[in-house]
Formats: sequence, structure tokens, C-alpha cells
Amino acid sequence: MLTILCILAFGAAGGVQVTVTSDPPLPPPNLIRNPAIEEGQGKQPAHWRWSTAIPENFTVGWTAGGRRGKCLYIRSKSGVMSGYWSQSVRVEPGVRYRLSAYYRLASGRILAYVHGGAGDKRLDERFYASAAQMNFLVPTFLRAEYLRGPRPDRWYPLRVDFTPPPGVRAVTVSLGMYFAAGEVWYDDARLYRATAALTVMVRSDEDLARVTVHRHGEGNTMVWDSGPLKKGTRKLQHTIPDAPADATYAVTVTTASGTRVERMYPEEAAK
Amino acid sequence: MKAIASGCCCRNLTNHVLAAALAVAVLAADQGLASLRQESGQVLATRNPIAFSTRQPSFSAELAGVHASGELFLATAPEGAADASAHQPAPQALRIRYEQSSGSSLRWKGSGELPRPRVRVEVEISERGSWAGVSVKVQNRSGERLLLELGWRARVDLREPEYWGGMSVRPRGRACATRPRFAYPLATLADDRACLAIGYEPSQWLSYIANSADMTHSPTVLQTSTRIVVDGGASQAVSFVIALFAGPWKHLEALHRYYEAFPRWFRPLPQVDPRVSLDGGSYLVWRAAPRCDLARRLQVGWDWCYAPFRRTGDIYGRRELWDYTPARTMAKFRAVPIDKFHAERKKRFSYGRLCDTVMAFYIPSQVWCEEQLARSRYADALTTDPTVKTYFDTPWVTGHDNELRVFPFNTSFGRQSRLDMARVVRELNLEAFAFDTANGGARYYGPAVDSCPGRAWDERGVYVDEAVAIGKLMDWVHAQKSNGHRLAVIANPGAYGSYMSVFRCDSSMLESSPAYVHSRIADGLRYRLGHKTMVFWETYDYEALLRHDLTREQYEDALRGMADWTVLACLREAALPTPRIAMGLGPLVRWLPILRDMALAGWEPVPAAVAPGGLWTSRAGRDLNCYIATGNETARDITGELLIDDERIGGGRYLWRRVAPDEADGAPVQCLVGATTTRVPIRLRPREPLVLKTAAALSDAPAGLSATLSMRRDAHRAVLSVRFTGATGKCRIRLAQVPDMKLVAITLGRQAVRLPPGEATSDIPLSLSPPCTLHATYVSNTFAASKTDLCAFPKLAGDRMNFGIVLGKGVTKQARAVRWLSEYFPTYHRHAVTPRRKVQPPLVVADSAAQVGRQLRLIVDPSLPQDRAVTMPAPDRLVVAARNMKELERAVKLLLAVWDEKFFYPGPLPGLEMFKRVGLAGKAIM
Repeated sequence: MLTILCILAFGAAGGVQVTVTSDPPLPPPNLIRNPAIEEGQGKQPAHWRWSTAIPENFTVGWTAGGRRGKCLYIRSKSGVMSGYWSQSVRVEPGVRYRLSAYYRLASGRILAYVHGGAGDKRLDERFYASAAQMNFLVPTFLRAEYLRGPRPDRWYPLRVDFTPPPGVRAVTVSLGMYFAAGEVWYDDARLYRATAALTVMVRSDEDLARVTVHRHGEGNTMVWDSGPLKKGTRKLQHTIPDAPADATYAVTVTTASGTRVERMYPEEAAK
Repeated sequence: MKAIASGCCCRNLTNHVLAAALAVAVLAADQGLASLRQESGQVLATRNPIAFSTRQPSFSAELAGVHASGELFLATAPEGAADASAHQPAPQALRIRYEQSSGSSLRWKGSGELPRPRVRVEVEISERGSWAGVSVKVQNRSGERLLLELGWRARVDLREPEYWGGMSVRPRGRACATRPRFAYPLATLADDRACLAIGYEPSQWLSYIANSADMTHSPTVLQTSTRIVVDGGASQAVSFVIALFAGPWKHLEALHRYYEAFPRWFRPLPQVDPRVSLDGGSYLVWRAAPRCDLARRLQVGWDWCYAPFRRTGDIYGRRELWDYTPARTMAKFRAVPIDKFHAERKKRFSYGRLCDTVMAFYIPSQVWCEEQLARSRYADALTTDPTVKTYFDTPWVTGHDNELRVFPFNTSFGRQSRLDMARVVRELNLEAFAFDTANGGARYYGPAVDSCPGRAWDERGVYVDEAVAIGKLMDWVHAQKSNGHRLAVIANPGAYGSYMSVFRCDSSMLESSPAYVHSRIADGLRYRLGHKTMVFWETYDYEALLRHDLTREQYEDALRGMADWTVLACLREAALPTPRIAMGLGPLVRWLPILRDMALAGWEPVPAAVAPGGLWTSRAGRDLNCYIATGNETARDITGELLIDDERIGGGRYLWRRVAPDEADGAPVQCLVGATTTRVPIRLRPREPLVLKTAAALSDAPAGLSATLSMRRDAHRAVLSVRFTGATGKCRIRLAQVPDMKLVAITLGRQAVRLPPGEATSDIPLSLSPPCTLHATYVSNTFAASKTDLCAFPKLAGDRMNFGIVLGKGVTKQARAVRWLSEYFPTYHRHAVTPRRKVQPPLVVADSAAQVGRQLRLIVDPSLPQDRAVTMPAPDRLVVAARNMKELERAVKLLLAVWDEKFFYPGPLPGLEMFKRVGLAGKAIM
């Protein structure tokens, strides 16, 4: 466990000290190797391996055109077989994780999944997406603009949440094309602990009135609210057990005199 | 004598091939004696180029420039397999002595034994249709159980080989294996010249079949094998079929020949209710308020009566099992006292009679049972296969139970299941069972395994595939009788279900939308069903497919596209879309009668036609009841010729007419008659389907003959016109029957042609002097009035129809036909007309009380003639008169079908939010 201490400047009404800790520390480490797909040699991106039962059905590569720099590329000639860029990742059983990545889908159907096993315990969590514009009904039966689905010129995020069952200490992350003719690019993969225990400690020279924790951005969702605090409260500690690990949190402390102190975690704390 | 040298390349097997030491006996089977002959050390079949060696269990064949050869192999289980005795015999020379039997038959015998394992093998060759049949009997002469793998490994020199083993077709250049769980009892390697096929006699119980091919080098290798268990002192036989077929149709040719050799498995059992070959109801009838009229309009013949029990595993609803604590809260209709439940269920099943629909009692193939029940009473039946799901603690069959997977054959649960099923048959007067989850694939290792046929083995021990139990239960259902029929089996076996269950069902659903046609997954079930009816069960996920912010016009345009695609998809597979898919899509619903007729004619694997522009073709039926379909799925017009292989249709030179639900019906079709083929010029717009039906067959047609066929059809008569041009000469013609009509006159030019006695399909001699036109006139067996007159009869007068129903002789108010007629117009105006209108049903009055006025009179009188049941003696008099109630009901249904064209209603679109927003929910695309 890593503790990150944030000491705020004293305001006019007195000193307020805010300490935010988390287990694990935020942002959580990315367990994917070569996550931005920038490392590699020749045509081979480092740490990523290609696999399929019908190699001749695919053209694959480590190509330019990623969100920033290079990315993984798959073109599938037909739907006779699926194929995946993969790598193995060590994990802890019973811990919640999240795989995230970006894809740009010109055509076909993709599958991103996390899989593994130990004994009779199996893990298989999936994310599918289909291209709309190249749906087989377009253009003869349906107009492309009628269809839902990703646009071929945009990057979209994908997400797979999973918890390795008992005994499963390694999983395979696979990003691929799933039994469809098509073309897809993948970039910026992350695999990290999905939640963290977030602890807020506040000390003040004057009485505290209220402490709140919001997710920063995306609607500023309230994560915790102390409510009105009893008179004489000058110390406060609270732990949020399953706070999403891929968020930034805003801790707002209001003192009895009306002073508001806001602190961001993790960005500010990491400085 | 050479030992068989092939190494076994099966996974999980040692490479020790025992075949070198097989004791071989080649016996000419009774069935094929006359067809087999011996020549140059080979036994030759006459219907296939396969030649078997008389010295070893191997074959060779040559056809269309393609050479194939193969040999039998036998291997023991590997080290570590449960109970396996990993024998490692040294290759030994075979000792064969020949013996010719008396009479005209040939009889070949050989013998030889291995010291370890002590086995004797006999091989028996026969002809099975156009296949060489090879039965291999293994006698275990040791005192211990043997776990064996038995199969064939063959090589064939093909140019662009394709492999098919039960799932999708695999292209050249790779090694591939079909997982045993999804394997077909047939595997093929083919190019456009020939197809090598090796398979199994389909009545056998085989829990493990492994098909594979290696196309990475030449010659390509095809292999198939099965695993068997032979107890000490016992014997076990496996019957194979092998063939090399010429022609371009690849695995489809093999499937055709397989269906021909073993027809029992690819058509419904003849004694079951024929309505099971119509469309499935997708709960139009199995509901609190059945929608009989809509079911009739949508060609429904059966419904899937989902989970009509309170507790999974207790399908009857026994008193001693009624009260228990379910894992979750029950739905209201199940949370009632036992007597009320039975009464309500009986009432619900009675809707089948009301709607003229077979009510198929749902069972989860009896492979799922409520957990407490399974553990306390049926522990011997528990399925423990760790590779499949065997436990549901989330909602599944009933929704409120946790369920365990069980094996329903030769177990306590299997016995109880049969008792329960017999009770529901009696209580509900059932005609069919609906077998859900009939895929098979789970392996049963439990205490009953040794009492089951089809034992196989794996690394966990000896097992039997769940499909053995399901197939046995289907056989039991077929042995039951009700209402003069054998009970039918309607199944949901998945696309790649086990042959042991799919071959036994009478019709089947594919629990998917027609999108599975595009992915070719639908082919998996189609190939397994053969000629039997296949229905697509699920509709499209419109909410996932279409944007939610479209306008009404855009939704309508999109839905028309979906309807057009669905028509083509169904034509490709000769399949039917259930009401779930069809409802609200008028352009699709209009095609349902044609799709129904094609489904009843039966899908054929060889389409026997090639279309221009790479368009697909499909076929249903044969000879004079044959349909050929194609459709344009491209965005451009396609023009060219459809080339039809007449020999595959039935042998004549066939002339075709167009069938369609619109003005294209009967439109001119030019047939250019060749020596063995017929060419049909076509032009198809984007999305346009084309369905041709055989109208006539010519024998001895003069070369260069052209015939242009058109047909005008009305309710009471139809006229087929054939305009001949080209060559002069004599020939004979057979005319196809028109449904519910009889041929009454033929003219050629101005000359009447004498009709042959009996069937219209008899040969009629013609002397053609083109240009000349033949007219064949048919009259209806049912209608003596035109469609125009029949449709002009009913009119709305205020809030009531302008006619009354008069109950004539033999008809009571309770008759189903009366109810159908009474409800037709109120239902139509309530659902199909905008704005909705409440219309009173026609008055139903007894004959004696009939006032002078517009009347639809119903009569049942055994003294009446058989035909012309529907007449209009005056514009305000419509009479339906038949000899019995069954004929009356049939005539009324035909009358309603005529009215349907004017009072068309395809049912409602689903009530999705996005459709509600634009006012389309519950409406229809006409």
C-alpha cells in the first residue's frame, strides 16, 4: 500500500490538512506490456502475439495510424475463422480488474476477451462490437445511416470487467476479429485493478462543516457525503471501499466559517 | 500379405495401429449380393467405383480423373485413459483364406487374431444405395474391457479441395478437425470434379465421431473415426459407408446420396400429424388469449408450449412433489393449487383444437431437473461432465428453480420421465412433444452408462453422449399414439446438434433469426434435418440494429428491407419464419404460402441449377412438385440464364412456371429445352426473388425446342399456357398438378387433346408444329366461384357484416368452422384497420330461423359430392357444403385464405419504444 499525502495551504480561517490514500494507489498500474503498441521490431509489436487457426484468412500488422503513433491491425478476408492479438497477464484471484482499449472498426465484428482457467475454474469475459456500415444488409436492403454501430473513422473505447476465479493467476487478453470479414485497429490497451479503497483524512484548526468526495468529470457524481458534521469536529477519516480505480476524485472540505478547500486525487497528489 | 501401414493420427491415441493384425472377413451382405463382384483381387460395387481389396481392409477408387484410396484403422486408448489397456502389439501378417459361398453370391472370409489385445475383426461389404457399406465387427476375445478407436484414413488427389465434416466448409491449404461434439456422421473432401465421402450408417448410437482433413499437401487426407467400448468376450459392430461421387456439388452431393440411402432420418415419420411440418406458432396459440386467426394467416401448424409445469423434472405435476421451496419466486400462474394448475393447463392445451394447431408439450429434452428433486430422487442420473454447464443457479427452465443436468435413459429419471410423459399425453390428448436443448454433447459417466448403447471413452472414462438418451426418448415418443397419429417430435437442437437427436425429430426450430443464413450457420441444421421443416424462431434485434432516432418513413423503409432479405434467406434454406419474425412485415407474410409449400416439398441439398452473376440457387421437392429459387442480393440488376440440370430434378425435360405472391405469379417464363438441361433467361432487380415451379415435363422433346409458360390462376380455375417455338416433332408431356385443382381440358392450337384416364401427371402424346400453344385448364376441387365474386360477398354494414351465417344440416353453433367465420371480420377490423373499428360478428342463425337476406350457409351432408364445396348460387348466397366436418373445415379455411388477399393482415410489429415513438408499434408494413 502506498500512501500519498496531500497537505493543503492554510486558509484564512485556519489550517486544513487533507490526506488521501488509496489501496492500490491511483492511477493503478497498467499490467499490459507495450500497452500503447509503440514498442516492437520489424513487423512484430513487442509482447503481442498473433494467433488464428487459419492464417491465410488474415492480414495483420503493427502499423501507423493509431490514436497516437502505432497500433495493432487486423484484416480478415472472410468469416471462416477468428484471429487475435494476445498477451498473458499475471493477476490475483478474487480481485476485480478491468481491461480497456480503443478500437477503430471499418467492417466486420470484433471480440475482445479475457480468458483463463485453473482446474475446473474458467474465466471468459467478452466484449463484442459489430460494424454497421458494412453490415451485410447494406446497401441493398438497408441504408447505412439507419444502422447503429461505430463509425469507421472514429476510435471507440472498449471495456471488459472480470474477477479471476480462485486459482487463476494468469489470464490471456485477446483483441481480435470474430468470424467475420472485416478490418479493425486496436490501440492503448490497459489492464488494471478495477477498484481501490479510497481513504480521506481531514484535520483542521477550526470546526469542519462538511466533507464530500465527487468523481471528477462525467457529471461529477457524488461518491461520498459526510453530511453536516457535529460541532467540534476537527478530525475526520472515511474509507470508500470499492471506488472505481480509473477515476479522479475531488475532495471538498467546507469549514464552519465557510471556507471551501478542494483537492484532486490522484493528479494533484501525484505532483 | 501386407500389414496395414497407416499410422493413427487421432488425438489422444497411441500410434499403434492394430489394423495390421486384423482378422478380416469380407462377406457379401444379403442386400448387395447381386451387385458385388470379384475381380483381380478386389470386391467391386456396381453403383460406386469403390473397390475393396480381398487381402486387407482397404479400398481404392478412380473417378473423373480423381484417385482415392484408404484403409481401416483400429487403435487402443492411450496410456492413462481410464480402464484402458494400452496394448502395443507388433504388426503381424494377416492370414486370409477365401471361401466362395454357394449360389450366385460371393462370400469372402478371412481370419487372424492378435495376441494382445485378442481381437477378431470381421468386415462385411454391401451396397447401401449408392454407397459401399462396410460393417466392421470387433470381437473381444480377451477377458478385459477394450477401449478402441475405429475408423478410416483416406487419401485423394484433388485440385482445390474443400473439407466438410459437420460445420462450415473449410478451404484448401490447411489441416482441420471438426470437434466431436459438432461432427456429422459423414465427412467429405471434394473439388469440382469429385467428392470422397466416408460416414456412418445413421441408425447407430455413436457417442464419439471425429472428422478431420489435412489439405496442406497432396494427396489430401480425410479421416473419420469413432470410439467404442467392447467388454471382454463381447463384440461390437460399426457400419461405415464410403463413396466417391462425380460432379460439382461437393458435400451437397454426398448429403443427397446419404439422404437417399437412409430416407427414414431425413423426412418426418409418416405416421405423425402432418401439421408439424408447417410453421411454428411462437406463442400465438400457447397464450392466455389465443390468436387463432392470425396463426392461420401465418401458416402456423404447431406451437411450442413452453414449460407447462411447475417444477423442472416433474413435468406431470405430481401431488407428492407439488409443495417445495423453489430457489426464486414463482410466476403467478404456477403458484396455484395443484388441481387448479392441471385444470388451467388443460384449458390452455385445448386452444390447439380451437386453432387447429398441434400443441407440442415442452420438455427440456428431460436433461434438466430441479436441484432438490434431482439430488433426492435421481442421483444416478446426474450428469457430471466438467466441460459443459451442468448446474443453473440462475433462471432457466421455469425461472424459479435451480436446475441440474440429468441423463434420461436407463436411469431413475429416465424411467420417471416416461411415466410422466405418458400421463400428460393421456391428460392433454397430446400430439407432439417439443424437445428443447436437444443438442446433446454432454457426457454421462454415471452408474447407468454400461446399460446404454453407444458407449465411448475419453480421459475421464467410459461415457455415453447425452444425445443417446435424448434420441431414445424421441424413439419412445414416436412409439406413442394419440388421435390416430404417432406422437411427433419437434426439436430445438441448435445448428450443430448431435445426429442422434436431430435425425430423429420430425421438424425443428433454429433458435436464431434468418441472419444465420448469411453466416452459413443455418446450414448446419439444414444439413442435419434433410427434407424436414426448419423454422427460424427468433426475430431480429431491431433495437440493436437500427438507430433509435429514425423517422417513421425511415423505419418503414428499413423494415421493408428486412422483409425482403428474410424472404430471400428463407428461400435459400426452404425454411419458414415464425410469426415472431413475420408479424407486421406484409411483404414477407405474402410469401408465407409459397414458403410453406416449399417446406412441405422438402429442401434438397443439390440445387440442380446455376444462376448468373454468382447468385445462389436452392431447391425444394422433385419432379413435378419441384421448386427452384434464386434471388438478387446485390445492388444491381442481374441478367442471364438459369441453367437447370434436368437429370437431377427427375429425368424429364422440365418446363417451369413462376410462382409469386403478386403480379409476377404466372408471368411468362421461357424454357429453352436442351439435351439434359433447361435454360431459363432471367432478369432480377435488386432484392427480387425468383421462384420457379415445375409445370410440365417433356419426354423425347425435339432438339431446339423453346417453351414459354404462363399461368392465370383464380379461385375456381387456372389456365396454363405453353407457347412452343422452334423444332417440330413428337413428344410426350406430363402436366403437374395444381394444388386443390384437377386438369379438365387440354388444347394444342385449336385441337382438343384427349386426356388420359386417371392422373393429370400421366404421359400425354403431343405432336408439335411450332409455333403453337398448349392450354391446360384446371378447375378447383373446392370453389365454384371466382375470387372476385367471393371477395365481393362480405361487406361491412354499419358495425356488422352484411351477411349472416346460417347453420344448415349437420352444423352447430359450436363448430370450429363457425367460430372461425364469426371471428374473422371482427378480428380483422380490430387489428388491421386504422382507425380500429369494433365490428360485431355476423349473426349465426339456425336454418329454420333464417331470414331472406345475404347468407353464408354451412352444410354437412354425407350424401354431397366430394368436390366444389364452396359455391355462390346467387350473389347474396355463399354456400359451403361438405360431406363431413373435416372437409367443411378445410373448405372454410380455403375460403378464408381467398378472403385474406383482400382483407390482408400480417399481424402487428413489436411494441418497441423506438417504434412507439413514431407510431409504428402494433402497426404493420403492408
